Amino acid sequence: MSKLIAVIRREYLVRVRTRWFIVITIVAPLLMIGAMAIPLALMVRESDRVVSISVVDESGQLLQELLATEEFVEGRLRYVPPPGGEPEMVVEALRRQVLEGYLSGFLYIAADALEAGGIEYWGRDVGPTLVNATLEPATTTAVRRFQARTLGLEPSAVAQLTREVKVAAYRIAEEGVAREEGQSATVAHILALMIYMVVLLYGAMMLRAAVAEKASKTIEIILSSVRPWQLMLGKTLGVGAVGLTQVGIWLAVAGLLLLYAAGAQSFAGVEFMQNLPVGADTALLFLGLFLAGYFLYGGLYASVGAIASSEQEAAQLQLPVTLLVIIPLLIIPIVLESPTSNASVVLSWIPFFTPVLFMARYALGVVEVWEIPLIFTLQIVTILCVAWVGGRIYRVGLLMTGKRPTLPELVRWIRHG
Amino acid sequence: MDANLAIRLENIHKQYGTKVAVDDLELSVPRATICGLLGPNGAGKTTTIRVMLDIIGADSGSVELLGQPPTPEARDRIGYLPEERGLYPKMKVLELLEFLGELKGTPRRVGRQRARRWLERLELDDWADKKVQDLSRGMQQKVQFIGTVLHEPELLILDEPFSGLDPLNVDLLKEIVLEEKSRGATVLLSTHNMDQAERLCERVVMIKEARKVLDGRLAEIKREAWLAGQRRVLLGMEGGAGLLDDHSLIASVEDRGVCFAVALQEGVEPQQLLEAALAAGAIVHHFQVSEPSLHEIFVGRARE
Repeated sequence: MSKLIAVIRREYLVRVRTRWFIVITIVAPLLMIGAMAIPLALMVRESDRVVSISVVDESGQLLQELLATEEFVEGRLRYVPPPGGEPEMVVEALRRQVLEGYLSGFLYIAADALEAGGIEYWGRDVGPTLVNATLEPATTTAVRRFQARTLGLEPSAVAQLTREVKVAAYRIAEEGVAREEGQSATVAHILALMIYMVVLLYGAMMLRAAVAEKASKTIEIILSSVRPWQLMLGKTLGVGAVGLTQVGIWLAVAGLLLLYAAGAQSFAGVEFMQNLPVGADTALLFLGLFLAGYFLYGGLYASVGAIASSEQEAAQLQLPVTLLVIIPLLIIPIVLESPTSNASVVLSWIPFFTPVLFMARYALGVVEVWEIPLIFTLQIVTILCVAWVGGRIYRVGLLMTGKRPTLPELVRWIRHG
Repeated sequence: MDANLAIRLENIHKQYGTKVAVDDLELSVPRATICGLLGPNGAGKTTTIRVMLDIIGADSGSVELLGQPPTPEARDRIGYLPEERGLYPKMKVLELLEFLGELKGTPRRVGRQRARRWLERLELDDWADKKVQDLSRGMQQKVQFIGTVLHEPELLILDEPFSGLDPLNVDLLKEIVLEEKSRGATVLLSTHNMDQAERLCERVVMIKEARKVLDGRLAEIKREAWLAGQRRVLLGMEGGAGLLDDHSLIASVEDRGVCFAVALQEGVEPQQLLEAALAAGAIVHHFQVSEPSLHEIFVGRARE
């Protein structure tokens, strides 16, 4: 037992004391915050930004209505009158103004636009926020109001008719807390990515740990004192403790930040931060899935490390395992799209995908309570299988250097190891 | 079980595929002796040691170390210096030694004190807090040697402990090996350096092609070889010309400046050469019957 502790202690200290550990501990959350904050900041700026556009109205009837829409009234769109002259000349002049940066773009309303319903927008930015969320509603409203008025309706009736209806989407979650769709999807995505990141990080650490004795040629001394299973268990627990330390620091920092954000009302203007649906339950599941994923992939990586005789060789051999980690990353969009579909549910049960996909489904609030013991049972059974096979490979592989085993040899190691 | 034996192997057999690495080996090493384990490259020495330490399992046979099977407790009383040298490059010397001691059940604080003493003894005290990778190869080897003796083992298994060291350090380590023996430890010394084996070992075992070909006290082995082999004499003399051409007495002569190294014909005793030299009127100032060296015995056996 004291030997096992000695191995764990060494594996832990040798990693925690490196500059790498400190750098990653500090830099990773900064990257994460950056990854979250940059799109957020962009969104905020996008909605605040005033877009200057011009309008070429050949129908001669829509411009007034257009300028009366809330997009123009509230100032999200600013109207710049076009120069006078022949339509072709005007369009050409506006084109140049757009290219030179005086204008964001211009609407072209053809003479038959009201009958045919076609309005064109020409501009530098034709992204969905501008075109679908701003220009389309504005022009639609303008056209409707004009037509309603030509039908001779009262202005109040016109307003009634053309009022926009907003649909707020809420997902029904088990705990009865309704969460707004877009937010929970973002959180689910981020949590799943984080699980993927940490599992990959510490799995790869385990790969290097497994090959360390062979690379440094210390294996014979170590094996004259401890059993291979003690060495492997010690390494797994030591590296796992490194991971727990790091993830623990991150979670603690994240918790403090959220507390601060909730407390600071000025900051809470950003709705996203206000009601982040990451409770203690999610954090707990995150830790559980991280540990399960680490043991699972750590075992796989350690087996690969045991086959290799140097770090370089190990790096080459790790590809199949890394591919296995990447697959759930590719599946995430499917799960986010339809988290309750049979495919999503079953995929999230497959042990090698569970850490990433189940995390995503949980954050979306679509997990049944009975699924939690199920997936953890599956995780533990798989981990034990991986440990059994990996242990055998490790035991034989430890003293083998030089020649890489062929597949049949590997099977023999596992059978007789 | 024999408590007087430090090592007892019985009928050890180990095979890798079709290649027999150790063939039905028996070996007994009494306590508090230094025993040489000799043999050409690939003879099976390292495999024997690994089986002994239960690093790999034998196909058959039994191992007894210090009067008990090689359980973890027994292995904690053994120090092993493998031929393939290696230390964790990123660890500090003192911490590494503490760790190696801990693996043998020495508490960290005790290990630290002993490690400091040893580092001083081996003139490495300035390097205690340096990383292993900053040390020269010779220094690393000394650190590894300390790791082998730190837990005060009762049995030391040293595989080529002197290779790669300068003569001063070789002498220092030899001194320590002899001290370990007088402390009561048993030493199994695997080496290719016959000179060192001859000077240190009381017993030698020689393995060739997976089998034991020689086993016993060095003095007896030498005596047997002397009785069975050619006589060699170192002869220094003035005058006596023509004596060295007498092929009824002498098989071959080598002029070494001060003396002649003479190999006698079979059946001729050194005494006869001395008498012949005196009869020829030579003034003999040096006459020494040379014993067969372990080197000669080894080469003879290896070529058989």
